[in-house]
Amino acid sequence: MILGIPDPWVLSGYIFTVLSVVLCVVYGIINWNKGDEEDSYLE
Amino acid sequence: MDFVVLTIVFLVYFVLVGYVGYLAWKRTKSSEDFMLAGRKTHPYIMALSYGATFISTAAIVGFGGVSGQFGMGILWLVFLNIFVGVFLAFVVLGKRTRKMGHNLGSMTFPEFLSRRFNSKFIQYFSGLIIFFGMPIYASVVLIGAARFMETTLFLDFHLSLIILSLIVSVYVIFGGIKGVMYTEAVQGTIMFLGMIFLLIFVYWALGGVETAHMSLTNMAPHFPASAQALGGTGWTTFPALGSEFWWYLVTTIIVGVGIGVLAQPQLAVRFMTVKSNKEINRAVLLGGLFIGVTVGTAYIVGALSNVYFFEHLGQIAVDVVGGNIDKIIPTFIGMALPEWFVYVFLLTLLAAAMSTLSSQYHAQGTSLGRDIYETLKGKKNIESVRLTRIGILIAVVLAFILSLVLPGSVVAQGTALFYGICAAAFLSVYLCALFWKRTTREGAIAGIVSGTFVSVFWLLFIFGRTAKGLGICQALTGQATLIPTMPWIAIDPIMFAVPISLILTIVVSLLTKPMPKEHIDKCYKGIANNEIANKKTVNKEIADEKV
Repeated sequence: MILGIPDPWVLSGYIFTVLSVVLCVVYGIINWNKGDEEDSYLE
Repeated sequence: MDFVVLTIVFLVYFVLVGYVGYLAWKRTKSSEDFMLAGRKTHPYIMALSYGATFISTAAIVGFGGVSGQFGMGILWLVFLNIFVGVFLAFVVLGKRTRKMGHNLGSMTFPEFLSRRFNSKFIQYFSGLIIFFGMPIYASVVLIGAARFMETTLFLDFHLSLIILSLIVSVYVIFGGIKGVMYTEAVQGTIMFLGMIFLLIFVYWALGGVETAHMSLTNMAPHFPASAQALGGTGWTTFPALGSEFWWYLVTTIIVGVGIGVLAQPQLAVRFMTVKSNKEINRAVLLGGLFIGVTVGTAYIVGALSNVYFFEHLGQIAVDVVGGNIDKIIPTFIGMALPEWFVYVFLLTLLAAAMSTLSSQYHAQGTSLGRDIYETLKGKKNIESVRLTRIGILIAVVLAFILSLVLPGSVVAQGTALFYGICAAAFLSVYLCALFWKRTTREGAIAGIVSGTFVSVFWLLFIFGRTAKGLGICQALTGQATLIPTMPWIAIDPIMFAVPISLILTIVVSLLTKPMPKEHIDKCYKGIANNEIANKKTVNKEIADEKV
């Protein structure tokens, strides 16, 4: 049993929750300074 | 708990919120300031404001209580809240909404859809949905906050309603969206700090993550019969497939709230308040963390409270609170946490309620002033701010009156009603507006109208929870719902309304004349070429590095 949760449905909910937070954090860090050039570049 | 200390804490909080509201008022000059914060919001403010609007007291206390009774299956909602409600909403929809909204000069969500499809009807019809649907949702939040002030500060319920309405309306009416977003950033910070402490404390007190979950799993024989009767199987196991609770968890909570959030006007408008994609990128980090910590904590703590109660009182959570699951989280905190944290937590709940309320008032005000009145009158940009302020005032008064007269059965369904109707009306058309150039005005109108009517019909006549709660079906037909068999009464309207709306949007669009190319080019300016532009930037960076 992983993390004390026997049901794969509940366990996957728990793990996906943690992973999605990690995804947001990593995405934010990688793109922290990207995106402000776009307006001047395209208009 | 020391009443004097609590009063001081609340007063300090009100002064802080008042001061931030005052700053917002000083910085609000134009209608663009009032409705979109001049399109220059800081990512921290944008992310916390989005999160604090999204998460009301009901999400913390109400769904936390559901978790206490039924278990951790509800964590799927947290996952969708973060992955769909933040990541996809910001990265996939938010960036396009910001750019397209800017291209079209739109200031509200209905105006965004209306200009995208060149249809005034869309603007006032959407405005009407928001203006008439939202007061019930707002009054639910207002009642929750007032009840809470009644029990903690021992204030009269009616006096609490008046105090809350006055404070929130002052900073929304004077500060506009800046008043809303600045105060939400303060409230969001309080919520975040309160909830992260709670999460760490609970896991620490119960011996760590794995041990805590293990103890909960081992309590399965004590899982309440009331939850088993509806299909629950345990606190760490998913409900039985096809049972009443399974349908409720999957269609109403996980799909309805988890995906329905994409089409909430008061949230979608946030994307138009920032200057560039950089702010959205940064807000993804902050927003994901915020939602994960606030909602995740509430649901984990709700379920784990059973372990604590059982060890200390020999009872499970539902029995400790006498069946009123809304009391599980507050009771647990009152018993298990240090006294100073009780003050912080009460403040957290008040902040959660006020932040949701302020956005609702603002969204209704802009709907009435700009989307309905100005569109029908055919006069734009003349008195937007004044009209919106009047709209906000009417929204505040409406929510106040509803709070006094609504029966409890309606209150319980208020949030689901509004969320469901918004998702049904707007979700498919909003997605088509952003991603499918071939969508036509007629297609969009067909999608919005069909989604609204299917959703309202299903809510009033078929969906058990709302049909029975509202009693309209009973009054008209003599029976509580039209199809009283499973699974129909348990399937949320969103499961039918959104697909029907999407099909009609697509079919009617394909049958009607495409929108003029110049208009589509204007809408998608700087969007369709995004990828090429980004590639060029990357290539340039690589070339620079080589040099």
